[in-house]
Amino acid sequence: MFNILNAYLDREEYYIIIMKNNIYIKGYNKLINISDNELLIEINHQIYKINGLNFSLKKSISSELFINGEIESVKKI
Amino acid sequence: MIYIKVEKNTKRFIDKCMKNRINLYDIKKYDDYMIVLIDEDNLENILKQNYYSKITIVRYTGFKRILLNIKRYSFDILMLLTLIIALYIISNFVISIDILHENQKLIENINEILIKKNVKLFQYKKDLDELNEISDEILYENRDILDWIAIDRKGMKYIVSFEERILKQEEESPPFCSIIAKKDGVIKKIIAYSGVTQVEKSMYVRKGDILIDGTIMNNEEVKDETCAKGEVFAEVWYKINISVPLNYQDKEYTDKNRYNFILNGNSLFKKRYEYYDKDKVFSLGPFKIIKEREYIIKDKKHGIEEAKNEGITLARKRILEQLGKKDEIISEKVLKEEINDSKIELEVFMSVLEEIGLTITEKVGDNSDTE
Repeated sequence: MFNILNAYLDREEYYIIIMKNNIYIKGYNKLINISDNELLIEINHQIYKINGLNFSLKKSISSELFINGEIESVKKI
Repeated sequence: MIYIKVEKNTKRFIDKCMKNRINLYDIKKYDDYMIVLIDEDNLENILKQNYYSKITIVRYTGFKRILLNIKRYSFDILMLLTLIIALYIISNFVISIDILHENQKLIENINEILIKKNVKLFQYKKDLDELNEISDEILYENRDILDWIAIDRKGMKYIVSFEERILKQEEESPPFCSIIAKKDGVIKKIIAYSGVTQVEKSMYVRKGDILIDGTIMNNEEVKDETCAKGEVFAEVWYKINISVPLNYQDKEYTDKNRYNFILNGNSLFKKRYEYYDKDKVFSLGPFKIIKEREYIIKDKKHGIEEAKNEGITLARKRILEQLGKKDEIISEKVLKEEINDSKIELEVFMSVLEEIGLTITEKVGDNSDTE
């Protein structure tokens, strides 16, 4: 929790918060693909692949994303 | 904000919105459509960018939604308000006046009096202050038949309760009585209805002197006895000590005033001034418009002459309280005055024209007398 607050207070350019059934991404450049079990996203000129189950976009506000779903892995590709 | 329904190409819709950094909140995806909450300002842009999707407005949120609902249900709201107002107006009419008493004749009398005072059926209910004023007026005008009367409001009814005045039958005149002086004074006026007048105008009489005698004499012989009746007015004197404070408080109106609306005794606007007077501007049933005029309380000091005049007025008032209806003050004079820092002490001499006759049933010399 404190890490999240610190990241917010330090005005980090980007960060990803993984919760039990949600994922919050701040400062992304581009959402390349979102399907039920895969999420491809470009953050700080790097592409991240997030695997999981039942992904569904809940909110997209400016450069923030909030996605529902069970996260299994996050990989930099 | 607006909830929109997006059909066809939902994935493309999201991509497009994200590319254009259009905020999407509360996204709910269903099999072949999705519901999204968007900022109202973005609607036009979304419709322009996503021409390939079918976008329909589901509902507005916040104040706009309230406004739209009011617009949509304006007829129903109007009808409801009309109904409430109509019920309120109807409930403020009087449909029954219950006069609580056993004497049917008196009930009819009171009913007539109430009609004269505009307390009728099928009229707008009067407020309690007005009803109190009316009951006071009725009592004052009908003191011979009423001891007290009260008009109360209960729902759509007036409940009138009163107490009948039971008049004592005039006692028969005793076979013999005389009128004597109840205090010292100089006779000014004598009106004798029966009996023999024993005093003359300008005669000084002392307390207990016979003024009108019930014994009729002829050549020092008792010819007849009667009950003396009459009125004897004499000039009598009083000394009164009065103390008037030199410091007093008086109200001074400021320029501030405002209008307020009263419904059934409740003010629409909150109390603004600490001290204020209310002037009635308009009144219709339980509704009133009043003007509130602010005043401040200022400490003031009487001048000596002013305090003296006030002292004399007070002395007059005090004497008049003791006197009968036909009695009057002839003159007054300040005998002594003493001024302290905070008050003025006056000794006032008053000359009063007063009825001094007192009826006694016994001959002078007996100990027991009755008025």
